[in-house]
Amino acid sequence: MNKAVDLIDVTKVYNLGGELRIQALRGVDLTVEKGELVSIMGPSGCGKSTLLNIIGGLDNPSDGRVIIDGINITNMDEGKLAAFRSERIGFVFQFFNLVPMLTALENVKLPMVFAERLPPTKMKKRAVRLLSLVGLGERLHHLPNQLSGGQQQRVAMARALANEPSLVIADEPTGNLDSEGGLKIMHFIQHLNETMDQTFILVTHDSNVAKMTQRVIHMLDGRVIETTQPSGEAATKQAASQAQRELLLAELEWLRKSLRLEEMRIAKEPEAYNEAVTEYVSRWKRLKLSLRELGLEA
Amino acid sequence: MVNYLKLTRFGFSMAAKSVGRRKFRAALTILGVLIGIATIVSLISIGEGMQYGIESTLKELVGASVVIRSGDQGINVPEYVSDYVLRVPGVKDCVSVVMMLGEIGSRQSMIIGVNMDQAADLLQISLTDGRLFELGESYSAVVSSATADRLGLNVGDTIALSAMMGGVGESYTVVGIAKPVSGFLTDTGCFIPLRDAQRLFNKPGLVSLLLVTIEDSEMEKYVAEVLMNAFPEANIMTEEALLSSVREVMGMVNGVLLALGSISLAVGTIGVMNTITMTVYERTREIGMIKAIGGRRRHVLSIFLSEAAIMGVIGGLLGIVVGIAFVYGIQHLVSALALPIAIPVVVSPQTLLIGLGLSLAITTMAGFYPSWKASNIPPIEALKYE
Repeated sequence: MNKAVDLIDVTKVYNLGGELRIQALRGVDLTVEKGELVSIMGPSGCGKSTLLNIIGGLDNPSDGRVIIDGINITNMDEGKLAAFRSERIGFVFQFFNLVPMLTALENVKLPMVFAERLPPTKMKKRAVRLLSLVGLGERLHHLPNQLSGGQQQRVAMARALANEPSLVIADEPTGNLDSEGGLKIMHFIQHLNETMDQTFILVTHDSNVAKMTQRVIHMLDGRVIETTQPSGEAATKQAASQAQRELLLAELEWLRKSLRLEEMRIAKEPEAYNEAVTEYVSRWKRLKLSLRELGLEA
Repeated sequence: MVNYLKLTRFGFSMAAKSVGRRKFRAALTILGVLIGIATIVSLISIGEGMQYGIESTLKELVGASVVIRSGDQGINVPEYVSDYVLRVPGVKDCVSVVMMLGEIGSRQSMIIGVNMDQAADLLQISLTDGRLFELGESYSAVVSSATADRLGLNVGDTIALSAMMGGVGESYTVVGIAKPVSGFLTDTGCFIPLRDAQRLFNKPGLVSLLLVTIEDSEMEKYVAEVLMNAFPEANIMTEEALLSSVREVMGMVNGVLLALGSISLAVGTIGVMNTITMTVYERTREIGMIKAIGGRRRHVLSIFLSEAAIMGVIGGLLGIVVGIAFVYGIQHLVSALALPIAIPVVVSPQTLLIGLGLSLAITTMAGFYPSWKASNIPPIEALKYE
């Protein structure tokens, strides 16, 4: 059993009440080997977060089979899923999600407290070791608001590794960091992947981040459309950039549409509009940058 | 198997940090609980004090274990009844008392006729000046110090006593001045020898009441039964019966006080519920994260329940202190202002336990609903919550 993740024809439908249904996943087959470092890319709304939630045992699929680390979690209830997550999955979130009133050390201990397996002294020892591993051995007793974004995300990574999970899942781990901080996080992820043979699956918008993984899974409209290996041959690289170009253009189109939709809100909710536009503009800039790297102009 | 000790420790350490982080809000919530508990504690203390006060007054007032009086309120009990009473086994003494409203000069006064050699101890008469009159002495009076002050009387002065209903006045010599004894010698009271009183009120051979003391309080019921059988037309009260009827009334009074106190406690409870609900809303994302990284429902529940319990315990302890300080403060104020009322206060250990237990129980109950709701939020929804 070398598969960390084995998804067979997984679909997910959200019923929003009445006739409104959203098909978030339309039959995904996906295998991730143990020790792999994989990224999932795709435009917003393509289903990558849904996929990640299902792999992480935060959500049940509507159909298909989900086997994680040899365990079939397809129809597990919430109580069992919680135990499953506690033992096998490490989570890293975009917004770090540390407990604000706990120190770095206490935050890292938290999953061990929930798992209720280790005596307190061992928990502490382990937490200290993990924080040293991510370069925060000197900041054990700092509160999250005394740490930079990148440092907070490293605390979150140490926390994700607390119970020696078979799989670490990261939803846009660099999405809320500047490029330098993001790069550092990615180096740590690569380092942990190599030295500890830790399996990682990350969702990202950033092609530079995706490039630092072994395999990129491209998604569109609830399907896996392509799997590429950024570090492979030039041909695959070209294929990747081709796919990426399509994805980027698709996202650009989506952004245009969204902006148009947002414009209808100007009069009613100017603040929300401004917020949304700011977000879109920054995404637009990022997209343009990515496109230029691929030798294209928007 | 869930390790509840670990769970409780975890919940409390998380909750203590949360309370510490939102000090102002926690303080306001605690204040609400504090006021509720302080109200309850002070009301219970005053209620118990009142009960204690009334009971001890009654014991002094009656002095005797059994009181025999006629069916009506007049001076109608034949004196020879006491001879019979004294022969009942277990009876220690039987004191005859004539008691009627009369006048000193032209002022209304309770005039009480007793034989001092019998009654002085039972009625706990303490002199501030002069002496008590002796057996066989006539036209001698012991007046209350307040009456003496008001009328400017001293030992050796002469006063005119008369029955209310146009009786003939008689002259008495003041031989002693006594501090008021609760019940029998009121502010305006005056003691004279039994024979003189019977003559003054024109009731020879009759008394108002007989105060019966007994050797062993366990005999009380038996003596009372014997006397009731012997004198079915008489009004025979036992101390115990009197006390139990007082307790019944006080129980009702205490119930009303507690009901009033509960209102303020209910307000405090709603405050706790509100605070926990707000905390849950604010920390929804955190709840999602906690569940995502392996926290079970019980972990979430324990965090918020502990928060309620912490506020309950602090509010309860402070409420007890403030409640006790409040009643003693009022008591002090009343005596400092020399108001003619006394607020008796009894602070019993049970009251403190009730205060603490009540605050803990009620805040935990108030915190339960929002905490339970928090523990049931699905993790993905909680993570998406803005």
